Amino acid sequence: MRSAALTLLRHLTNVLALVGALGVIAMLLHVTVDVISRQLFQRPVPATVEIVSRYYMVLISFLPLAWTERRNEMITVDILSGLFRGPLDRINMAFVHLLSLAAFIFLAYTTWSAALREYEAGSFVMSLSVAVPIWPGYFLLPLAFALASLISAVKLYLCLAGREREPESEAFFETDNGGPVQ
Amino acid sequence: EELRLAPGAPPSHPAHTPLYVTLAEELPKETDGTLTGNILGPEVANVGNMKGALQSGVVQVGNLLPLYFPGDLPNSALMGDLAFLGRDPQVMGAAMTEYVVTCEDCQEEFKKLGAVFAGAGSSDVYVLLTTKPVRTPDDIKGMRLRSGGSPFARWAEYIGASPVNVPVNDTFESMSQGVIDGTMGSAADLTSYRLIDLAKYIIDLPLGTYHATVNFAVNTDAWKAMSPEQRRGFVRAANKANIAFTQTWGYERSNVAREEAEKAGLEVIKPDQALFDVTESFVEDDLKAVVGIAESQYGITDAEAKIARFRELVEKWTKIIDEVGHEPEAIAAATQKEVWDKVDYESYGM
Amino acid sequence: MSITTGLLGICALLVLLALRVPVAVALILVSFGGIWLMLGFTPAVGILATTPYDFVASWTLSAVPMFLLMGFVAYHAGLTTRLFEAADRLLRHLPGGLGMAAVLGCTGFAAVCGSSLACAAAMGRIAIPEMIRAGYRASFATGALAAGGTIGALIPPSILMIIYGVFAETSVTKVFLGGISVGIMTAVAYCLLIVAVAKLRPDIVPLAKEGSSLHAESNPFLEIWPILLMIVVVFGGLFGGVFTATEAGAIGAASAIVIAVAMGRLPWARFRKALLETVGTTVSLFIIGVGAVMFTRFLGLSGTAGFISSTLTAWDLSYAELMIMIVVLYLILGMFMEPFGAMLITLPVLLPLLNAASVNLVWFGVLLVKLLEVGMITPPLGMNVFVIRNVAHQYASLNDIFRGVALFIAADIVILALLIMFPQLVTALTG
Ligand code: NA
Ligand code: NA
Repeated sequence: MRSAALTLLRHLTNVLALVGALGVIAMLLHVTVDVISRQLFQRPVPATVEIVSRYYMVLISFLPLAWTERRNEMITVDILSGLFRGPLDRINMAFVHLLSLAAFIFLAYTTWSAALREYEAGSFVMSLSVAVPIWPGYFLLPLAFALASLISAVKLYLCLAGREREPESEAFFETDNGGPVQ
Repeated sequence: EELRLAPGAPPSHPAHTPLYVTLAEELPKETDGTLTGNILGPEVANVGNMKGALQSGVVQVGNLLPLYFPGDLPNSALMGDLAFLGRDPQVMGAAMTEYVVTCEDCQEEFKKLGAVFAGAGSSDVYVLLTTKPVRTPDDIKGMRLRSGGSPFARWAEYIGASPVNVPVNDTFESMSQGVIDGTMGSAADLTSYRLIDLAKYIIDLPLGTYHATVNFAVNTDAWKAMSPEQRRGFVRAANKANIAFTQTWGYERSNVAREEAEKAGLEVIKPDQALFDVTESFVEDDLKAVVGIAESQYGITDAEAKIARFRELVEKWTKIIDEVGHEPEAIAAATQKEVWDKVDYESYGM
Repeated sequence: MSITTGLLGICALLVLLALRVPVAVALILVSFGGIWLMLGFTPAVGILATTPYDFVASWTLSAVPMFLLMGFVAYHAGLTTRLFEAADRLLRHLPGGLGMAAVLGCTGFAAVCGSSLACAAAMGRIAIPEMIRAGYRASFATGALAAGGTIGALIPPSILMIIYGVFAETSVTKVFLGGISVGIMTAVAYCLLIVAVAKLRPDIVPLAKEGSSLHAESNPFLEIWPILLMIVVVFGGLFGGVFTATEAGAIGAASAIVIAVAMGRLPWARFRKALLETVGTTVSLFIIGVGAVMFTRFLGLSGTAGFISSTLTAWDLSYAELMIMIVVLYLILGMFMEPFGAMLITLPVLLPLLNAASVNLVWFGVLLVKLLEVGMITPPLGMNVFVIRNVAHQYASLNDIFRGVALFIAADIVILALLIMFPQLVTALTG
């Protein structure tokens, strides 16, 4: 049961990373086509700046957060890590997961309220003379932070239950990037 | 009570000095020392994030540009589409101020956003700053020009240039790379964005003003916490600051920039009559287009009447400023009397 | 003003970081708590609600993931391996040839990219594995690239210099010119440092190799054309006015992909890996960026940074004391703040002072950007070090990289001293 839930979460976060990867490709194509079309045909792709900054950037930067969190890739300063051994290590890790959980829950809640406000205002920006709606992009943030809090909660649970070294947990934390490449 | 004031711009920008500096100086004088201000830098709030900063109360008085938030402030943003009506900055600042204060839909928008409008200002009349000479309509065909807003983009398209959407902070780089051949903007951009290092020509073709401004948006909670007397005092201080701002941004800055540009060897070109004519005909054709834009993109009803009302105010203030002259004190007295003294400080913005 | 809250916030941040709390989480929670204490709950919530979106929804910042992708693709497709072999052959008779090649690579790349983050990201993935394979100690190799990346913001184009020029109302072109001289000085100093280390500590930097290792029979100069083609496309496009430095990231990545595919070197598995590494690095960097902007707002609202700079400037200082004070000030701020925030907070206080002392503002801009770039590699908040950690986590821990960077910071301090003692190093070019 628990193992199935962990596997499901692992796959879910992997999908988030792939969506982020698609965002990277989309951004690359959009900007490249814009430059080529502007130079060759004097016709830039409309609203490139707005779509890149308001959609692709938000998607790439936040959506895969849960994936990063699952793989323990959030950057930490490990200057004193030698001090944390045995039970102290467990207490410290529980504290770290708890704070991460708190931060992500705060962020999920606050960015959700911001997204609702933008939705109600029907936020858009003008790109030359085209109106580009921007409110949908705001909803990516609460989604990303909610999923990241879910992962933090799981990590906190595994830590408190003393299970983070078990094979199913190790599998959950895997950092494989899609097979060996030499 | 010390208010947190946010010009959203560095000290070198007129939105900081004189706009917010004047407010901070006048505020205690006009409120018997009961209100003071502390100016926050752009690292706390900039024009891009001003709405959130105001709504959360991080900032209590902020410089809010409606064109950054047209979804929230469509009725105020719409006046930005009438840029080409602008021929005199003080006229446009006063007309915009009176328009928003007396426009019910605008006031409704501000209420929903959680802010109170306390005055607008205006830029100088925009010109073309280019790396290539422009004299005839043919010269401008196919030129890539940075547009600072949709009316300028429409003008560029009308005249056969290709408007390019470049974020204001990228203007310098885009011009130095040759990605754009010029920009439609204030002559003051020559110094404030250092375009003086790149541009070779100032094309003296009047392109209208940037007047869709809310120099002072007051957080509604902060406004409600003031007594009616304090609100009156706040607005008196704000009014002086608004006039001083337009005086600087609308005239002095661009004059200084032009002098520096001439020293730096830029050439001022007075283009052929043909370019003036085609711009004239654009203005009339475009007014019809604006009605469509207002209804389809901003979701505004009754746009024709609103545009007519704004034109009326532009004419009214053209007459007033013709009479009182361009002394800032005289204009401040006129806007105080014509607009702000008619406001009921028990109910305004509540 | 709540200077005490600001100072307490800095202490709380240090404690949380020492307790292994992720950098982003620590920055976000301390800023939230601090603003709550100073202004109340609603403003604190407001900062959390809007900063993440506002920071990331940026056109300029979009160059970073694009340059990252370019570096990852070039690495995984093996486009770069032979470049270093070629550099190695050229510089073989010199000790530390490969390290110098990496620094010179950063310098060349700096001429196309506007931020040191993007520069470190692009070059780090390419150079570090090669250096480690050649026997460099991992901490030194990673430190060299973290520091080498800072050249990205010194040599034009440079986003920091543009913002400074606008803020200080001084000529960006002249600051750019000054940046060339400081960028080259930095590159030379780093190269000298690498040679010195190679001479003194061959266990850290291997001395010149005897024979060549792998491809002794083939000529690497004939095989570096893919990377040269990439450089030609990016440089040519930038200087030919085809695209801007922000767009150059996407063009660079696209050309890396096209070349790699054309050579049959980019099977799906490798491309996928490059993409996922790009996503992972972008996410973990930008969430720290969000935290850094929040912390900067917190310090701005508390008035702490302004207080520190105005206190220091209130003393009646001689020119030399003023300059030492400025260096110390930015070294301290650079530890905790992102460079744009540090610049925006301090300049309003410093500019009048500098004007009064008739300091040349072009020269000062160059000095300032150099100082802010040193902040990019000092602990605990060193964004360049974080990028390198992400592209080279299999070789070195964050501690290792910070240790490796120490020598380069020492070299930077020498450069700063030279700049202050001999302003003509900059002004000779800028007039
Ligand atoms: Na550069
Ligand atoms: Na630092």
